[in-house]
Parts: sequence; C-alpha cells; structure tokens
Amino acid sequence: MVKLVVNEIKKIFRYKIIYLGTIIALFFSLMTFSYAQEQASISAFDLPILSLANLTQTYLIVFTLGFSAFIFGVEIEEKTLKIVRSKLVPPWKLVLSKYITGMVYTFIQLFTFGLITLLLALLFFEAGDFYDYTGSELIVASKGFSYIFLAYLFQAIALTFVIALSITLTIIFNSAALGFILTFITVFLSLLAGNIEAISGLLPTSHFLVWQNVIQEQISWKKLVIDLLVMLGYSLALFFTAVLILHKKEITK
Amino acid sequence: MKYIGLELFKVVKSLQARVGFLLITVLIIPILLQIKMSGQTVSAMDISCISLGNLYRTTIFHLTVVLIASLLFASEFSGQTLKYIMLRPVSQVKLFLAKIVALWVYSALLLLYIFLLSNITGLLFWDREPLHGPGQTVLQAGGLRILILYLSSWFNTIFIISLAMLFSVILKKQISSIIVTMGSYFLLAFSSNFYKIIEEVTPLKAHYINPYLWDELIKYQDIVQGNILSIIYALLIVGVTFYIIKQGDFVA
Repeated sequence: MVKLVVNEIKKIFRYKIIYLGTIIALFFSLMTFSYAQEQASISAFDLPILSLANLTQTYLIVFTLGFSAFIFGVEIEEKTLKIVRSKLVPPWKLVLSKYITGMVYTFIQLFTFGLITLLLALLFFEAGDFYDYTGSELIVASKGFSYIFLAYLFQAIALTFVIALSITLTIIFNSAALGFILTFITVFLSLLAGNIEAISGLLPTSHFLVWQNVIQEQISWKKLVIDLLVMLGYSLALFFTAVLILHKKEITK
Repeated sequence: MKYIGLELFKVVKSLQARVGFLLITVLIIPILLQIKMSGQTVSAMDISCISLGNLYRTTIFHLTVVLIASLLFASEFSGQTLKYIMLRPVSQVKLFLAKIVALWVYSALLLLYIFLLSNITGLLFWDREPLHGPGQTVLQAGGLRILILYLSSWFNTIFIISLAMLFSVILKKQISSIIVTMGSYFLLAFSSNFYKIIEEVTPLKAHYINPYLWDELIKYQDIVQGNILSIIYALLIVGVTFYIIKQGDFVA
C-alpha cells in the first residue's frame, strides 16, 4: 500500500499542471499580501486567514477537485488503468491510494500556500492581535500561530470530501472532465439546497468551512468535531461507492 | 466553412455538450423554485436575467464552455488525432479557427437555451414585464437590456474560449486545461476584489456588466469597451496559441 502511494505521488510530479497550479496559488498569495500593504492597521495573522477565507470558496475547491479528477482521469485517458488492474491490485487499494495522494497533495498545497503568506506577512507586519472570522472580535496574538495551524489543518481534512466526490464521479462517468464539472455542480447544488432549513444540516456544504470554527475567540470544538464527522462520513460513503463501482466495472468487462 | 460544420457536428454529437445543456436545466429550475417559494415580486424578464446572472457569477456557464473547448482542443492531442489530421493537407490555422467558431456558436446556443428555458418557465409563474432594477425600481427598455446582457455575455465568451485553447495547446490534456483555465479565471476575478483597475482593463469589465446595465440609463460606452476588451484579449491569446502551434511538431 505504501509503495503504491509513493508511486502515485512520484507520478503526479511528472505533470505540468502541478507546477502551473502552484504558480497560480502563489499569485493568489501575493495578491492578498499586496492588498494588505494598503491597509492602515493589519496584523500578520490576518493575512493567512484572509487568504484561507477567499481560497476555500474559489481556487482551492477548483484545484482540489480538479486535481483529484486528474489523478484518476489520467489513468483513464492514458489507458494505464488496465495495466494497474492487471497487476491484481484490489479496487479498494487503488481508490485508497488515489484518496491518499489527493490528500497529501492538498495538504502540501495548502500548507505551502499558508506558510508563504504567513512568512511574508511576518516580514512586513507586526504579529499583533487579530480579528475573528466575522471581523467583530479580537483574538490575542499569542494564539496566532496555533490558531492558523489548526485552521489550515482542519480545512485540509474537510477537503477530503471534495477529493472523494471528485474521484467517485470520475470513476462513475469514466471521464475526468465530467467528474470535474459534475463535482462542481454538485457542490453548487448543495450550496443552493442549503437555503432550505429542513435539510441544511444534512448537507456537506453546510459543514465545509470548518476553519471558521477555529478562528474565534474560543475555538468551537463541538461544532468543529460535528462538521468534520459529517465531512468524513460523506467521504467514507463515497469511498465505498467508488470501490463498489470500480469492482463492478471490472466484472462486466 | 467545411471545417466549422465538422467541428460543430463533433460538439453536438459529444456527450459533454449534452451534459452541458442538462446541467444548465438542472441549475435553472431549482433557482426558479427558490424564487417562487420566497414570494419575491419578479417578472419573466427578471428571471431571464437572474438565471444568466447566477450561471455567470458562479462561473458555471464558463465551466460548461471550457469543458467543450478543452474537448475540441486538448482531446486532439491526448487522443492523438491531431497528427492524423495533420498528415492530410489541412491548414492548422483554419482548423483551429473553425474550432473557435464552432465553440462560439455552441455558446450562443447555450445562451439561447438559458433565455428560452428561464423565460418560458418564468411566464408560467409570473407576468412577462416589467424588468426590475436594484431596489425593485422598474427599468425602461427591459427587452433591450436583456438583449444587451445576452449579447455581451456571448462576446465575453470568446475570451474564455481563447484561454481554454491556449492551455489545451500547452497542457494537451482535457482535464488539465479545464483546471488551469478556470484557475486563471478565478485568479483574475479574485484579483479584481482587491484592485478595481483590473476590472477596468480586462474582459472582466464585460463579466461584471450589472453596474452599466441596471442604472436608469444604459451606459453604452462601458458595455462596448468591455466587449472590445474581450475581443482584443482573445485575439492576443489566439495569436500566442498559433505561435505555439507553429513552433510545435504535432505530427511527430
């Protein structure tokens, strides 16, 4: 299993998209930084939070789901899936290795991005008290590093859902492009359905922005655990669905 | 002309193009139901604008076009069909131009479908007129404003098509070109949150058309500027793409 994951990770660094994605993420980071320079009073800790708030709703979703669709879709596009399967790798191992690769890459991407933003911010701004996610209450500076670390960490874990959905849809539709667009639409529909109060609590998108539970004066641990459990529950259900479908596809062939 | 017909045939026959129409349908209907349930005072004219506005703001319209654009461009590389086409006396420039035109026609069909679906569904629930502006103000020349909105959106599409074409030629994989095209577009839109000047000097001016269209008087100058910017940027990107195509040996 470890060998499989290591091979997968080595494989992804062969593709240009990884480097282009990193360049785009760096641009995002620099954009936030140059914006902050124009503000009168800002703490160095505000910047990584501002970046996370903007990224989780735009670039990060697109890139995480796109990358996840890519790591499975590339096997379909390059017709290497048959070769992998001929080596008698069980479907669960194959899907799990893709999940782990997706997670590893998401963690690397998110933390590299957060670290660069934080380092730049610390060079130019004072590490003073910073605002909570609503911008209404101040959080003491001594909590800055741990809060930012936890916010990034838990948000990366929550992104597992996007990875799972994207890989599962790619397997179902046998196309990375369709997997990508359908994941995007599913997330959008889930956001839309979130306006219906009766079902809102059951939807994954209502629990997606877990970083907000951390960037508060007192971390809302209870809500954080519930949000993460919902996200992981969905991911697990999607994992079993993906394994089942992959297994069935093999039988019909 | 022959190439355009062939490329259009390829688009229409593709599963992804049909999925595009299906997705638009799936997305418009819940939005309409949500408006109906909220009891807002709207008209069928408003619905035509709200539907397109939502698909545009969330970039789902762009995503659908990029999906087909990458299918037409990147799939020729990943499926290794381009080298077989190039073995015949076919002009690369003509071929890629035909793909752009076919995509532009597809996006026109998609826009027409959005208009018809939202307008017809809107007529089932509400009156045809008037068109409301911010704060429920009634706007004059509603039909003209809707026509400008749809036409401007169509012109603006040429920018995203050209961007998808560029990344398809560089990355040669459908999914990669979709991710990077959308990522770049998000970066552009994201940066305009911080620097308003970016909105003024890029095709985003036509993307964020609302301030020019929903005032008492239509700001024609800004709308035309936005569309010209979309075309200028598209021409530049297409030029760079052709340069890359000319430099590469795609027959090998």
